[in-house]
Amino acid sequence: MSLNYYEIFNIPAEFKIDLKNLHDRYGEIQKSIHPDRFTAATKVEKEQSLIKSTEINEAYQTLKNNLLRAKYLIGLHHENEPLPLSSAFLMQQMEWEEELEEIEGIEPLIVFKENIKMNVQTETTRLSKLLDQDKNWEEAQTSLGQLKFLTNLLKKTTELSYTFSDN
Amino acid sequence: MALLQISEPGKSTIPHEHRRAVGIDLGTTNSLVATIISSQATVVENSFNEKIIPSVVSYSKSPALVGTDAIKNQIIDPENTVSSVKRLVGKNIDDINPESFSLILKNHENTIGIKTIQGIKTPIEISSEILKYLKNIAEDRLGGELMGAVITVPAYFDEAQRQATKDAAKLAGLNVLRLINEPTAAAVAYGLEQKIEGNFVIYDLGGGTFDVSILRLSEGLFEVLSTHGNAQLGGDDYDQILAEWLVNEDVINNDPKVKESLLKIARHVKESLTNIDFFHVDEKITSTIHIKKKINRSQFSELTKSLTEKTLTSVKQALRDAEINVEDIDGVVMVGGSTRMPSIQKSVQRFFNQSLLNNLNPDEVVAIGAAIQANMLAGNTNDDILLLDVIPLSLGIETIGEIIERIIPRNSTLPIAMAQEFTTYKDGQTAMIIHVVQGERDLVKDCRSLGKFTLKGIPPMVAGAAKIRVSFQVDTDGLLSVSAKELSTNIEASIEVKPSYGLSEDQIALMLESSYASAEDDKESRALAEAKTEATQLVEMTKNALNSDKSLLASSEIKLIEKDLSLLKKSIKTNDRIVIRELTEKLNSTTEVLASKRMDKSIQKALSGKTINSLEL
Repeated sequence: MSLNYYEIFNIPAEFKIDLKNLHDRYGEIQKSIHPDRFTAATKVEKEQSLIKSTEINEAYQTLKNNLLRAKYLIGLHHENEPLPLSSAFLMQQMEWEEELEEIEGIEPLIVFKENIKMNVQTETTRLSKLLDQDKNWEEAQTSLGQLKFLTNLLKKTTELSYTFSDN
Repeated sequence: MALLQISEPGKSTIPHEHRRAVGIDLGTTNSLVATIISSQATVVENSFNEKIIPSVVSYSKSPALVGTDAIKNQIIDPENTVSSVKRLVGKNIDDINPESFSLILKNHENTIGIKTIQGIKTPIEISSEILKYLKNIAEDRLGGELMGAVITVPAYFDEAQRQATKDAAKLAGLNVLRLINEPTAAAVAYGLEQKIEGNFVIYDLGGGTFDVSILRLSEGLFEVLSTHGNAQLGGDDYDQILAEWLVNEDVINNDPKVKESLLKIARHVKESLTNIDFFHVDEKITSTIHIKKKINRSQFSELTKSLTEKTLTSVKQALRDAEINVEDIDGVVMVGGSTRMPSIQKSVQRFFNQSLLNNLNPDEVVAIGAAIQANMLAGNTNDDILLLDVIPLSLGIETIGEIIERIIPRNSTLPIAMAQEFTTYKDGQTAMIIHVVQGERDLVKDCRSLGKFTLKGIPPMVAGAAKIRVSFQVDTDGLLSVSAKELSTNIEASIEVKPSYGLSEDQIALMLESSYASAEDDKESRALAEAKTEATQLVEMTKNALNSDKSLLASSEIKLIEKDLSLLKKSIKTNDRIVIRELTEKLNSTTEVLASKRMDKSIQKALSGKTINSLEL
């Protein structure tokens, strides 16, 4: 009878999510079961509160993050291993990585970063459609793989922009 | 309907008596204890009307002296007087630079030992002297024994340091309600008293540590988005730079007495420059050292500029970790006496481009916040506030090539549990060493080692066939337990570890015992009284829980609980401690299902206001 993460918060099992609503629900639940509410309780109640509170945190951390949420949602419907990324995307990956390596000034870096940001947005929209409308779990896995790469690249770019602006 | 009538599980049984609870700011330089007196958070004074107790312990005489009395000994007997012990807590000798301490340090049973005329003292014992002192002044003021205390620690304190702090509290006879991060306590002080919501930066420059945290406050929920800091940077370093400027460096390191006097002068100059623009030093320290120097405010800020810059670098990192821009910050809280320095106020204000929240006493803010939190945890208020904390540093285990595999990433909200599966790398391998580490770097040597344990009894298989699941659980205090289990066969081998630093439970128990130094009879009657109290409490709570939530259970489950309940009730009247303990344990385990279902019901209830199609309106 264990509930899945969506059922815990009693929200629809979709990729598109109202983060504010999720946070509110998370807060309400934690306020009722967090170990801080059980400092004067019995040992068993303390243990149960710790277990439940931990579970709620796990569910919340998963659902509030795009990548983790998509992976979890796919896992609820589909068990196969993800397919390898297409060779076209792998080529594109290498091109981006080479481009980033050659960038030396802050201006071209900002241009590059904006481009990657746009790609992240496009891929997120595509993933969202694949999951919530088409329910194409197989293709969604591929899309998620690409989004993971793009998110990491964006993170790397952002970190690089910090080092540029610090110097 | 019965469904809507349940009371909050944790609060249901104890009558509304006021429980004595305090907040303790255990600082590097100074410590404070605060409590709620007539609904006002107040710092408790000692019998000399001092609120700020120097974190100094002197072993010149027995019993040890703490605070101002100990400081007097710092100049007379520096070899037996310990200050800034917080810098040593939870560390071993390799972690620190012994040259920065004037006392004799040595490796002592996994931790540091300081040689005094009263024997070797560990940082845990020294900290516990300070905590004992604070406990005593609070109990004098409140007129009775404390129910518990909230103790604050720097946000980036690692496992070992948190555990050591908790051990020190136990040794001082304090029940720790919760360890909370200092900046979080400061936010409680400001947030609750002034009801602000938004993203906040807590900038905390104390005597010996610097901390910055980014917090989000919303609808009674405090979330720490990120923390950053420097355990080796504080107001003391400003004193040090100033002292070095006053004379040349060699003189400082030569003689501990000269060093102490110089630092005292430097501190005085620093503090004076907060209120006046210009200071003239004219002090004779020894027959050969006579300081005559002039300094103004801008000279002082120039001199210490690199220190202030370092704090802002940490601030930037914390903002990045929280993925928040400077413009999104709704307030900056200033904590710690060192933030009184005008140069710091100015730099931070300029960085955030807004005026600072500094209307509470920066020395008292942390203790005040801890007291408010302690009062809440003790169940004295009906505030609908919950404090959620994060783990400051990632936890992982060592894998092949001394590379760390992260299991719990930093900034995860507590409590948290995560597991990862590993496998064997040799054919027929029957044991595996699990090395627990904490830190952000990829290599073991760059992180902190928390402890090692061995998982034995793995059935011999080809390499890569065994599945070993390593689970980490971190509780609300940020304290870790690790277990490992082999999954691929039905043979189960698991072990719970407490990382191998600080003191073991047995060691603490032994130290507590010897400090009571009481007769066997006393011990036995105390143990019996404790067992009876606990049993009575459990009986009461179970009765209440059963009354309100019988409907959640099957009749067989109810019968089982009722049977164990009446057995325990009867046993309380006997004086058999062992039987009482056994039956308490038994009832504890039979009520597990009830507790779990009540918890689920609380979750349902918490969400009931949120569901649109609720039929039970």
